[in-house]
This record gives sequence, C-alpha cells and structure tokens, in this order.
Amino acid sequence: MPPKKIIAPIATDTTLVPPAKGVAVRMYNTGFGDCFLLAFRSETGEARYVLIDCGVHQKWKGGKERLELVASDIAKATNNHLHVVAVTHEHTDHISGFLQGESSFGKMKIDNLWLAWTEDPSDPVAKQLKAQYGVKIRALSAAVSLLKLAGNPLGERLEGILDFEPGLESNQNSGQSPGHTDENAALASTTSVSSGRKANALEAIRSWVEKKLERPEDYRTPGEAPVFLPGVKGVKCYVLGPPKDIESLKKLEGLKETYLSHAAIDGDTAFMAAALVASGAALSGDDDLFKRSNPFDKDLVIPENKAKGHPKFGSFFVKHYGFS
Amino acid sequence: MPESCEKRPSSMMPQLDVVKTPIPPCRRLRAFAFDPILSRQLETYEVNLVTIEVPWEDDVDYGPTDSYLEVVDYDPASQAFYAPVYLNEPKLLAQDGLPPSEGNPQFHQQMVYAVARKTIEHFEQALGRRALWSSRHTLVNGRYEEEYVERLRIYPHALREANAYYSSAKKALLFGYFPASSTKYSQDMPGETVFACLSHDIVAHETTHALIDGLHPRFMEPSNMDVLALHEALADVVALFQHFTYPGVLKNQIARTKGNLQDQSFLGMLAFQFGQALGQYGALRSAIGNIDPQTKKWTPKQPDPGEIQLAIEPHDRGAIFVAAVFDAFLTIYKSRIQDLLRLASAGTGILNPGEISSDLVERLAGEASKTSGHILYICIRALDYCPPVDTDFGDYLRALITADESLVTYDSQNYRLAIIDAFRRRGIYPHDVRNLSVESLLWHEPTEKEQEEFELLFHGPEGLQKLFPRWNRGSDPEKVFLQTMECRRTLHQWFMDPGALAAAEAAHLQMDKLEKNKTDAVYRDKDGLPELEVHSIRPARRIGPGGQTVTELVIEMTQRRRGYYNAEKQRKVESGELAPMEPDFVFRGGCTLLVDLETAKVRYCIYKDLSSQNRIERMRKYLQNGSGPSLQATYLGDPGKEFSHFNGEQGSRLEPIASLHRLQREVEM
Repeated sequence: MPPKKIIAPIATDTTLVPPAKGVAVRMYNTGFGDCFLLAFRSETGEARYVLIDCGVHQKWKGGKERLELVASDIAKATNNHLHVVAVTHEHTDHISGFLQGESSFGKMKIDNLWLAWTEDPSDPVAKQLKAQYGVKIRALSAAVSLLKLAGNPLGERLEGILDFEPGLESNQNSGQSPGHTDENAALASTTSVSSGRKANALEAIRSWVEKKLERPEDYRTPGEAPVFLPGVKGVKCYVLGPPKDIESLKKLEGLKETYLSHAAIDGDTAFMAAALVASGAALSGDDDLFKRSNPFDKDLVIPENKAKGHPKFGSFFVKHYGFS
Repeated sequence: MPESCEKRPSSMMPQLDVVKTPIPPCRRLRAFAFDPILSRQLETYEVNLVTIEVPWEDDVDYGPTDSYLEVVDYDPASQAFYAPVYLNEPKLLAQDGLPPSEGNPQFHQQMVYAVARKTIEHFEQALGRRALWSSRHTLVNGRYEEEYVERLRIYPHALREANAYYSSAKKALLFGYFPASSTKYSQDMPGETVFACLSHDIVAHETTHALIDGLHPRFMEPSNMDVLALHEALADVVALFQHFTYPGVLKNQIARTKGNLQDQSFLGMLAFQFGQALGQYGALRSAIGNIDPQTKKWTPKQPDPGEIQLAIEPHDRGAIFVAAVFDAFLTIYKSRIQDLLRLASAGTGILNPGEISSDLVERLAGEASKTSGHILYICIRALDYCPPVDTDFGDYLRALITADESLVTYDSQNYRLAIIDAFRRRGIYPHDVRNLSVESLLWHEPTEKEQEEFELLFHGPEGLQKLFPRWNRGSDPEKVFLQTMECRRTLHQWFMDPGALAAAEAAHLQMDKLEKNKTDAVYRDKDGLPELEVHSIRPARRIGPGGQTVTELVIEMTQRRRGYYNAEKQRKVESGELAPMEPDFVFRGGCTLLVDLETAKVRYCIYKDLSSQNRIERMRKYLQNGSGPSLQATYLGDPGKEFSHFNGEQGSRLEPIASLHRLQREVEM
C-alpha cells in the first residue's frame, strides 16, 4: 500500500526561467505519482515549456488538493502556456492531475500533445488491446471485491494493482476510506464502460490542445524520426516505447524457469480465466473461453451440491472429502 | 521384519484354498512419460507412453487411496467433483489401468498416483526405510502437538492457474490447470487446457518436496539463499533421473542421440508442455541446454563459476545445482561407455554415421540406467548427512561425498571426483574446507575425548540400541512414528541432564545455564537452560569396511535464538540490557549426529553453531535484502515478510494470484 502521509505543499509561485543553454527541470512532488516541468530556451530567446505527466495515485490522501496546487503553480511558472504536454501512459498516477487541476489547465494555452500510438482509437492493435484489457480489468476488479468480502488480505494487495486504473467500481466499493481517497479515481474517469478503462483525464487534455490528434501519424511510435520541440534548436526527442510488437508489449518480465510467478498474468487467458472464475462469471458464460476454462466435459462432472448424495460415490466423498 | 508387514489383508481377492496365488510384484499403470504434448506428434508418440510399475498393495481403494497416498479429486474452481478411479477393477487390472487420456479425470487420478508412488519408491530404496510424511503440528492448550500423518493428499485439479505446489500445512499436493497461452511457438492449441497433474516431471517434483519435508521440516525455512533452492534442485534431480528408469524412453533417446546424452534429448528436459504453454521455447527447465530464443537453435549450457554469484531466485540457483549433478552423471556415463564405443567402432571410439545397432542401444541404456540410478540415490541419501538447519550448496556437496563414501568405500568409478569437479566448475564450494579433495570434503569425526563423552551419554551400545526405532522398508509407519517420538523424548532427557554437559558440547550444542533474572536472545526453559529440540531420529544404512551392512542412527537436534533486524536491538537483547521481545526472525542452530549402533561411536557430527555471529548476520542480511527490492514489494507490500514469519508455507507461494481461486470455497483439507 502506498504510504498515507501528507506532504507539505511546495508551491513556488515563480516563473520557471530556462537557462541560456540546456534545460531547467522542476519536479513536482505529487506524492505517489509523476509530474515534471521542463523549460528550454528557443532560438529567439523565449521560454518553451514541456510538461511530462501530471498525476497522483488514487489512494494518496489529499492528492486532489495537492494536484490543484501543482496545476496552478504550473500555470504561473509557464505564464499559462505549455508548448508540449507528453503523457507517458494512462495510469492514474500519471494523468489524474489534468482533471484535478482542470481549473488551471483548462484556461491555459496548450500547443502540442504527445501520446503513444496505443491511445490512437484507429490503431487496430491498440483497439484489440483495449478490448481484451477491459474484460480483464473488470474480471479482476470483481475478483478483488470478492476477495475482500471473504476477508482475504491478499485482496488488498491485488487492489494495489487496480488502483493504477482510473475509476473502477472496485475502488468505490473497496469499503476503505470511502469517498475521499477514491476521489482521485472518480475524477479521472468517465462512465464509458465499453473499454472498462475510463479516460476522462485524457479526453480533457485532448480537448484543450490546439493541435488535435486526428491521424495515426499524430501519435508517437517508437522507431520514428526524432521529434523536435517547436522553436528549440538542438533538442531531439526519441520515442522509445511502447513497442509496436504485441508480443513484446505483453512481456512484463522474462518468463523465468518457474511455474509460479507472473506467467499467468502474462499468458493471454490464464489470468483472465482465474479472475472470471473468482467473479463467478465462468459459471454462467457461454463464451468459448468460458467453456474452455472448464477442464472436463459436463457429463464427467459431479456438481458439488450433488456429491454427498451421489448414489455410487457419495459415501466415498463423505469419507475422503471431509463433508460433515 | 516385524509382523505388521506380513499382514496383507486381501479382501479384494477371491481366496483359493488349493492354489496359492502369488502376490503380484507390482501394479502396472499407464501414464505419460513426459506430458500429453509429446503424444500429439508421431515421432514422440511412442516414447511418451510408459507403464509405470509401482509396488503392489492389495487394498488400493477408490481415489486411488493406498497406505501412502490419497487422491482427492475436488475442483473448487469448477465447484465439481470427479468420480474416483478404482484400480482394482478387473478390467483395469487387465490392461494396466486406463489408457492415457487428457479428457478423462480418472486417468489424471491414475497418473498422479502412479508417478507419486514411483517417486516414493525411489526414496525408500535409496534410504532403506519406510518414508514418513512430515507430522502435523496442532495447537493444543497453547502447545504444539505433533500428529501422525498417514497419507499425503493429492488434489489433481485443485487450482485454476499455471501452478502446482506442495503445501506443508495441508500435507497435500495441489496441482493446477490453466488455458495455454496463444504464443506461436507452442504445440498446444491456443487456449487449450494444460494440466499440471499430467506432467510427469511436475508430479515427481512436488512429491519430492513432500518427501524432503518429511525428512527435514526445517528445510522449508529460508535462512539462506540456498535452502529453498536446494529443495527445488533436489525435486528437479529426482524428476529428471526418474526419466531414466523407464527403459523404453531411455532406449529411444539413446538410439536417437547415438548414446551421446549431452545432445538435446527429452532426458535432460523438465516439463516440456508447461514450458511451451507459458510461451517459452522448449522445456520449463533444462539441465543441459536451452533453445536460443533468437536463433531457435539448441545450445548446450556452458558451466560458468560466476553464475552462482548472480543467481538469487531459488529456481535459478537450483538450476545450477541440477546442472552440476547432471554434469557429474554425464562424466561418469561417458567414462563407462568408452569401451563399448571402441568395441562398436573397430577400436577407434568414433561411431560410424547412421543409426547404432540395437544391441549397442541396449548396452548403452544399461550403463545410463545404472549410472543415473547411482547418482539419484547418492543425492537422496545425502539428505541423511546434512546439518539440521541452514544447509547451503557447499554443505550439500559435503553431504553427497560423505553419503557416497559411507556406502561405497572404494570409489573405483571415480563418482566422487566427478561430482566434486562438476560442482567446482559451477563455483559451488563449501566455505569451511581448505581444499576440494575427497578427504577434506568428508564431514569431520569427533575426537577420542569427545567419543568417550558420547558413549557415556548414550549409555553404551546397549543404551543406544534402545533408542533405535524398528524402522525398515516394511515397517508399520504409525508404529515407527510413535516409537520415534518416544526415542526423541528419551534422548532429550539424556542431553538435558546436567551430567551430559561435556557430551552436549561435543555435539556443538549450547548448554550454558543462565542465572536467574538474567536474559539473552537464546530461547531457554524455566531453569535457564537453552531449549533443545530433538528433531529427528532415523536409521541410515551403510556398508562397513569389511563389506558388512552397518546401521547408523541419524540424530538431529536444534536450538533457537531470537533474531532482530536492528543490530543494535540484537546486541541489547543478547547482553540482557533489553528483555527478549517478539523477534523479527528465528535463528536456529544444531547438529546432526551419525552414530554407529554397534559401538555407540559418533562417526560424524555435522553442526551449525547457535552462537555464530557470522551466521546470524548473514541471515539478517538475507532476510532483509535477499530477494532484492522488487517492483512487487514496492507496490504490493513485501512478500519477504511472509518468509520471515515462517508460517509453514513458503512465502514465495503466497502470490496474490495463487489465492484467487481460494475464495470460491476452501477445500476441506
């Protein structure tokens, strides 16, 4: 669990002045999250501002208030003008601030938005990923709710992963510090259920930016030519990820020589099947995957509630399986 | 032999008064030699079919249930039971059990039973005594009481995940199933169900965990980097060498590799289907080589003495140990077949191209099977020659050498040299020896003076023989268990006697009495004496110098001391400045004595000092940083915490994912 202490605000109230050569970097301590403001000097001597991420983890207490301060500080530091906003990925601790600081960001002039190809709604691979991911996330959040209901402490640990996902039902149902700490999540979300992940913070920043992202080439893809900061000489930005190759994208870490580990998450189906079972979905679904996730044909199964009274094996089950 | 083993109830068999029906030597059961995937390809179809011969028991009940095992086929994730197989059904007896079938849960039950039972048999053969499961500890009125565990339970479909494990708390093997990943390298159909219980290697591996736990319950406590790794490694060694006991498999692979077992063959691979289903190239683990993911070519593993320094994860370290053992096997096998190769090649030793003759296959297979059997048994026997706690790879090397020396005095085939060399090439040495000669690796013998003290303590050979549980392969396990408990109590009294102080010191136990009102970190009884646990008493057999069989008593004793992560706190508790409080971890010391029953002389005393400052510091460091600051620890809490609390189950297995299924309904265990 992320720590729950509150760090004193660090608002500076000053303009961030770029050096004559090189870059000035202001790192905002958002708590559990990222927010970097970079200032370069253009060829003509004016300041050029780049913001990389702005967010805080949903369980971070006082995150919302903190990010409001951060956003207003960014507005002052940049004279209400961001030249580039780069979003690394769509986790709460990287994007929640765009909504929490909406009152500041909404009024600012934002020229360019850099998003990865995975956010391109027309990209077929991205589409596929989002669809699969959505089901998995919903299954996982159902499983977490059940685990917590059963009082299993591991439910809380699993929830730690889910908390990176903006605005999931399980977070609201978590029963732990209701309302307040989940506000970060609720803020970062919309109610678009179709993908299971809610991208309101991203939608907001998309709507504010002047140069809209419309075509596939507006999104950043690794391997493309270096990107330049408008008006700044000698700074090249290279896009390193996420990889276009769907196999390496799914690779969390090397599949080591073990049959424990995270391999199950990495596999397409294993994790999902497990989560679906935990959420009870497998018992009702008629999707192919649900069917296949049951190991044997129906006629080989003796349902749990019929085992005790089974004419042939009932006594065996009672003796060996510990029915009372 | 006690009467109990003669008692063979034969309720299943019709009694014929006239003709005495001989008892079958074994029960034959069909199984996969590897896993189902090899039965899908023509070239491996045949090699994958084995008929496993397990020891015969008359009363194998539904399940199967016999005197060692109880297969319980409850699938909590599907909320389903599957009908238990009845192996004594005449139709099944007549055809060596059910034919292999992935879709029939009863075949799954038969296969886990057959493989687990075979693994038990190997342990019993190597150790020369009945295998016992680790006892159950139940809290009765604030005290832990040991309870006899008759059967190990096996749940073939316990988990819906890519996992399988032995649970010491439940005294059960739990096998999972999961849909295969849809990577393109796999021979599985994408998403088809893969069963851990149908992988010969995984079943043998997990059964070995249970058997080792029965011998050494403290081997589950990760006090150094090697403890869990050793558990994993031995489990792999057993699974690996079990392949060699199936003649059909062995001959097929020898013919294919022309006797060069260093080549890629199924004999050196573990859990092929599991590996592929998880999206790997090739097997889950391979002792001799791997398929390069880039070139897709098989490349042999080169020994690297530096590798052991970098490997931290138990399976990674274990793999190095397994490679060393396999390497020792290859060295001996190669030297044993040189003459055969010369005979088959007109004296050149270089075989002609093309296939080798079936006679040669037969002879080479004979050598491979003999050598692998020896190596397997040395590895198992070494379990009797380990310190009772905190064993590392170096200790195990010494145990291997001592175990072999005590059975084969004259090492004409140079097994011991081959073993030492293979370990040396992988950077595995004991910390505490001056050189790697066989003599220095043997555990040391007590001095004359110490021997006298031991003799006194044991009340001479007669007194010692009273301690000996009547325990051989046919013994009634429950009787053995109860006798052992009694013997342990007696020995405990002997050692706690004030007159036995010198003997306790000779055994490197800590027996200082602390004055009233003083405290330190050692766990002590109400008289201020350090607590002593007589952990285990069991017989080990060896061949004496004259060729006669000698029985030795293996006695393990442990003591414990409180450990704290904060070194300053540790110092204060040690010196008595602070009263002993709830420790962060428990630090153990103790000794293993190998005592000759005839002479009451201690042949070896293998010990870990309870007072060792070095060792407790090493353990503290290991528990705090051993696993390294992983992403998981940062985001999800520290799994190392679960390690340190020793809750009976390996902490690494308390994966959040592993618990997902459990919420459905806890299996009654």
